[in-house]
Amino acid sequence: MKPCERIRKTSVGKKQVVALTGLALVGFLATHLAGNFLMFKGAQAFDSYAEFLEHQTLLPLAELGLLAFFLVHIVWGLKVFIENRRARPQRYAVEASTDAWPYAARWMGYSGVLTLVFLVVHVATFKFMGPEEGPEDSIFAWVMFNFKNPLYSFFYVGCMVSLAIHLSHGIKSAFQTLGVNDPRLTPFIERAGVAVALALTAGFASLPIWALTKGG
Amino acid sequence: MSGTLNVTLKIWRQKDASAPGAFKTYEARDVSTEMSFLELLDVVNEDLQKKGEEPVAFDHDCREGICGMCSLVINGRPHGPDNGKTTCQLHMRRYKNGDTITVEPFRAAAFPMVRDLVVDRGALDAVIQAGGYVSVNTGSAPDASAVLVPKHKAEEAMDAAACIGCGACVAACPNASAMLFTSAKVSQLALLPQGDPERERRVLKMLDMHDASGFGNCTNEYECEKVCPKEIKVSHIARLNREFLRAVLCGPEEAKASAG
Amino acid sequence: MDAKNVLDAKVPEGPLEKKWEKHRFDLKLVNPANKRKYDVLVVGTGLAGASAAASLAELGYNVTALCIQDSPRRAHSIAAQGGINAAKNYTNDGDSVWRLFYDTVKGGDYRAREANVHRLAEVSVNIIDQCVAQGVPFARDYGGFLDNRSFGGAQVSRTFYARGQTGQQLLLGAYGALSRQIEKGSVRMLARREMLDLVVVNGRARGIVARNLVDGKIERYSAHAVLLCTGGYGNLFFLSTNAANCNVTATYRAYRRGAFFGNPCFTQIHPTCIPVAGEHQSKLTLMSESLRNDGRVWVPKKAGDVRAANDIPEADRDYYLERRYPSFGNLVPRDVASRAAKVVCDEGRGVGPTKLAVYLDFRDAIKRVGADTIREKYGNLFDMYHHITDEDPYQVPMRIYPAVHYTMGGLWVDYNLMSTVPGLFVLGEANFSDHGANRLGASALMQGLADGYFVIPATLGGYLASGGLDAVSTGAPEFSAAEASVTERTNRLLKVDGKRTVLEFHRDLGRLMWDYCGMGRNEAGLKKLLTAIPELRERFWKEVRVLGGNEEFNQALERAGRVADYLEFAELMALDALERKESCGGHFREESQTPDNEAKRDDENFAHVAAWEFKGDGKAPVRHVEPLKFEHVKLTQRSYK
Repeated sequence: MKPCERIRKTSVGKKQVVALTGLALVGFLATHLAGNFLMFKGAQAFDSYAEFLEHQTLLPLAELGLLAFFLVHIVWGLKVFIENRRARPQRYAVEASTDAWPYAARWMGYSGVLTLVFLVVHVATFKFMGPEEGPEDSIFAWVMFNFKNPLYSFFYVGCMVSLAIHLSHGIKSAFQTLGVNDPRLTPFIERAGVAVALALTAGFASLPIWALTKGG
Repeated sequence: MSGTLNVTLKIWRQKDASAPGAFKTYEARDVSTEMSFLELLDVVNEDLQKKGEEPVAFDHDCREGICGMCSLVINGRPHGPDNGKTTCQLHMRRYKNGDTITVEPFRAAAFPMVRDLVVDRGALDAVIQAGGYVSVNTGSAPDASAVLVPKHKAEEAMDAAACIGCGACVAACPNASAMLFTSAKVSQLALLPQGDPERERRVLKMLDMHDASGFGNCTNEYECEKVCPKEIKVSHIARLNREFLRAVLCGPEEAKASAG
Repeated sequence: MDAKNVLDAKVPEGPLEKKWEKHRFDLKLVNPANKRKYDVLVVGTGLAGASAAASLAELGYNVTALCIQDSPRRAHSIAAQGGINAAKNYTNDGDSVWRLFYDTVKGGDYRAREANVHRLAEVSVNIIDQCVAQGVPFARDYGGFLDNRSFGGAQVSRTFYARGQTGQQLLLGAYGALSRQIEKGSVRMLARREMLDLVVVNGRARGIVARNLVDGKIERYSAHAVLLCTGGYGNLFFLSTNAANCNVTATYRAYRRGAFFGNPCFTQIHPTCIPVAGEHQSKLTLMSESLRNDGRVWVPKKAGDVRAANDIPEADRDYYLERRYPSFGNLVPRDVASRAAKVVCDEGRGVGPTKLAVYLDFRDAIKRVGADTIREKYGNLFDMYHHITDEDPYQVPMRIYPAVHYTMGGLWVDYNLMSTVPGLFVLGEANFSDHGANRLGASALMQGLADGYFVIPATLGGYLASGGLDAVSTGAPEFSAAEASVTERTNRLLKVDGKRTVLEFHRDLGRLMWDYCGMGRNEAGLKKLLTAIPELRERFWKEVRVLGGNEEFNQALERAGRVADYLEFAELMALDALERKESCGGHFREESQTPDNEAKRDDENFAHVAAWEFKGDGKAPVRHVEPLKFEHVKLTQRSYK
C-alpha cells in the first residue's frame, strides 16, 4: 500500500490529515485577521490592502489551495465524525457528568458544520456579492454596511464563538494526533491552543462589534 | 464502619442480541456496606432465582481487578465511580442509603450483545492477533541479559503493559474507539528493544484491524484515560500516532505491503 | 492389581542431571511435514495452555485451543503477583539448578518426583530468556540488567518479577505468542467453551465434548492428543483466592474416563488473606506474603477479649508465632503460619467481627523505621487493604486469615506429562505436579511455563511418533455417547426445579470441606465428611433450582454443573486425606504431629504419590501408589524453632 493510500485508509492517517490541514487553516486565519485589523486604520488602508491582494497574479492559485485545504479538512473531518457516530449506535441511558471542556471535543462535528455554513455565507457575501447597494467600489464600506446589520453581525459573532469552541479543542488535539505529547510541553500546548482560539475569535468578533457600536 | 443500606438498581436486561432490551428495576434491601458491587449482584441474583426469575448475566472472574473480565457501566461510568478500580473492586460503602444505581452493558458496535450485561469483546483479541506481540519462537531466545533495557524504558513499557484488556476505554469513548487499548500494546513493544524489529509492521497491522473491527476514531477526548482501571495514559496514543507516521513515512516497503 | 505395573512414571535412566537431555534425544520425532497432520486439543489457556498451544503450533501441529473465559488472556494465571523463580544466579549468591531443585523438593516436604523437579529447575533458565524475548517488561536495575527479589523457602535471590503483576505479564507474553499463531491460522481459538467430557476411543484420548457457553450448544472436537491445562480446584472450598471460573470439571471428567487422580488432598492454604467480611463473601483476596517481613502477628491472650486492637496493652497480647518459633518468628513457612492462626482462633482468641482473623501489626515497624519507609515498601498493599476493608493499616493492625490458594494435587502424570489415559496430557496446576505436598512461592508460574514451552513440545512428539493413531471422526459412537451423557446430565439439572440455589449448595460444601478437610484434618472429621458429602449431593440433586434453558447463555447452569462435580470430587479428596495418615506440607493430619504440635511425616509408609482410579458410580475408587525414591535429596524433618 502506498503511503497516500495508507493514510487515506487508516483512522490515524485520516486524523493526521485533518490535524495538519487544521493547523494550516489556523495559520490562514491569523493572516486573515491581521489584514482585517487594517479596518481600524480606516477605509483607505483597508481598501488599498484589498486592492493589493486582488492584483496578485497568484491569487487564484492561492485561493484554490486554500479551498483544497478547507475541503480536505471538512470532508475528512466529517468522515471521521460520521464513522464515530456509527461506532456507538446505542447511547447510554445515563451519561456521566463530565468536565466542561470535553464538550468542545464532542461538538467538533457540529461546530465544524456551523463554521462551514459561515464560510459559505462569508465567501458569498464578500467575494461574490459586490457592493451594489452600498457606496461603490469600497470593500471597506461593503463590510461596514453588512456589519451594521445587527442580524448579520449577530450571526457573525455567533459563528466566531463556535469557532473558538472548535479551535479550543482542535489545536491541542492536532498536536496529540501528530504525536506531540510530552509532560513538559503538553500543558503549554493546551493553554496556548485555547489562548489562540480565544484571541482569533476576539479579533474577528471585534470588527462587527466595533462597527455596530462606533461605526466608522 | 459497617452498616447496611437500601438501594434501587436499574439493570439492563436483554435475552440475546436479537431480542429487544429494557431496564428492569430491582430493590436491594439491607445491603452490607462491606459488600463489593458484584457481591450485591450475586445477592440480587439469589433473590431472583428464589422468586423463579432468571438471574442477571454479568461477566466476572478473578474479582481482584486483574483479569479484565468484569465490565458494567455504572451510573454512566465504566467500572463505577472510583478512579483506577475495576467494577469488582467497587464497594457498596461508596453509596448512600436510597441511591438509585443504573447498570448498563459496555456499548459499542464492536462489542455485540451476548446477554443482559455481557458483551463480546473478542474484537480486542483480534487487534492483538494482528500484531501485538514479538515474533519469537519458543527456544530461539538469547540469554535474558544479552540485551539491556534502560530502567526508565522498562518502567514506561510496564505502565503500558499493565492494560487488562477490559474494554472500559471503548465503553467510555464517545466514539467507541479502542485507541487506548491498541496504543498500550504498540507503546509497550515500541519502547523495548525486543519489539523494535517489527514496530512498523505492527502498528500498521494493528491499526488496520482496529478500524476493521468497527471501533471509532480517536478524537482526543481522553474519557478513556479517566476510566482506565490501570490508569494508562493517553501519551501512549500519541506514541502510537508517532509510530504510525514513522511507519508510513520511513518504514520499510515490505512492512507497508504486508500490512496491507 | 500390581501397583507398579499400573503406574509407570517412565523416568529415564542415567544420572539425574542428564536424564532430560538423554530423554529428549531418545524420544521419537515427528517429521516436520507430518506435524500438520496431527490435531492437538489444548483445553485452557493459562500459562501452561497458552504456552503449549503456541509452542506446538510453532512446530507445525494443528492446534485447537479452548478457554472458558471470553478471551485467552483472562486465565487465572494472570492473578499471580510475586514472581517467577529461575536458577539464573545473576545475583552471584550461589544459586544453581541443583539448589533450585533441592529447595523445591524440600519445600514440597519430599512428596515430589526428583527427576521432574530437576527438569523443572533446568528449564527455568530458558523460561526467563523466552519471556524477555517476548517483551515481558521485567523489573530492571539502573544498569539495564534484570532485577531479582527473594522469596519464601529459599536463601538466594532468584525471583524475577514485573511489579506486583508478574503472572499477568507472563500470561500476556504467552497470550501474545498464542495470538501470533491464531493470526497465522495454526491455532483455532475457541473462547467461552467449557469442556464437559473426555472422549476415549480404543483406550486413547481422542477428543472432548464441550459446551459453547454463548448458545449452549454441545460441540465435539476430535484430535490425536488432548492437553488439559485447566488449573486447580481450590474453588471446591467455595471461598478461595481462585477466580470464579476455576473448576475441577475438566480434570474430574477425565478422571471418570480413566485418568488417575494424584494426591487430591494436597491443597495450599495461604496465611495472609483478607478475612471473610460476611455471608455475602464471594472470594478472598491475597495479601503478599512479604508483609510478614515487618508485620508482627498476634491475638489477645484472653479468649473473648472485645477491646479494640490499639486498646489492648502489650501484656495482654500473644505474639504466638514469635512465642512458638523463636528463631523463625513471623517468617515461618506458609503451612506452619496458617495452622498456627487456626489454632488460636479455635481457642476463641480470634479477632474482628467474625472472630476468624488474627492481627498483622505494623505498629512497631512504623515506630522503628517510620511510616514513610513502610509506605515505600508496602504502599500498594496497604492501599488495597484499606480499600477492601475500609480500615487504615497505618492506624490499626491488619486483620488476616488463611485461605485456600493452590492445589498441588491433580491428575497423575508420568515423566512425559501423560496421564494414565494414553494421549491425555496434563500440564500446569491441573497435574499432580512437581510441588509435592507444598508449593514454594514463585514456583507455580515456573511450572506452568516449563510444561508448556519446553516439556510438552518434546514429549508430545514422542507419543505421536510412536504411531497407532488411526483417524477418528466426531461421528464415532464414543463421541455420541459422551454428548448424550452430557446432555442428559444438563437436562437432569434443569429438571430438578427445587427450592435452593446452586450457590447455597456450593457454600454448604465449602464450609464442610473447610471445617473437616482444611488446615487440620483428623480421622473422625474425615469420616464424618465421607457421610456428609453424599448426603449433600443427594440433596443437591433433589432440591437444586436451575432456571432458564440449556441452549442459551446460562451462567447458573454452568455453575450447577461445576458444583455437581465438586460434590463428587470432594469425596475423593476426603478419602485421600483419610488414607494419608501422615502430615506433610499442606496436609496436616492431627494424629500425626510431633510433641510440639508440628507436622510429622511418615516416610516409611507414605513416601509415595497416591493415585486414585475411578471404578464407577457408587463404587469405591482404588488407591494406587507410585513410590518416591530419593537418591539425591536427604529427607529431614522440618523445624522452625
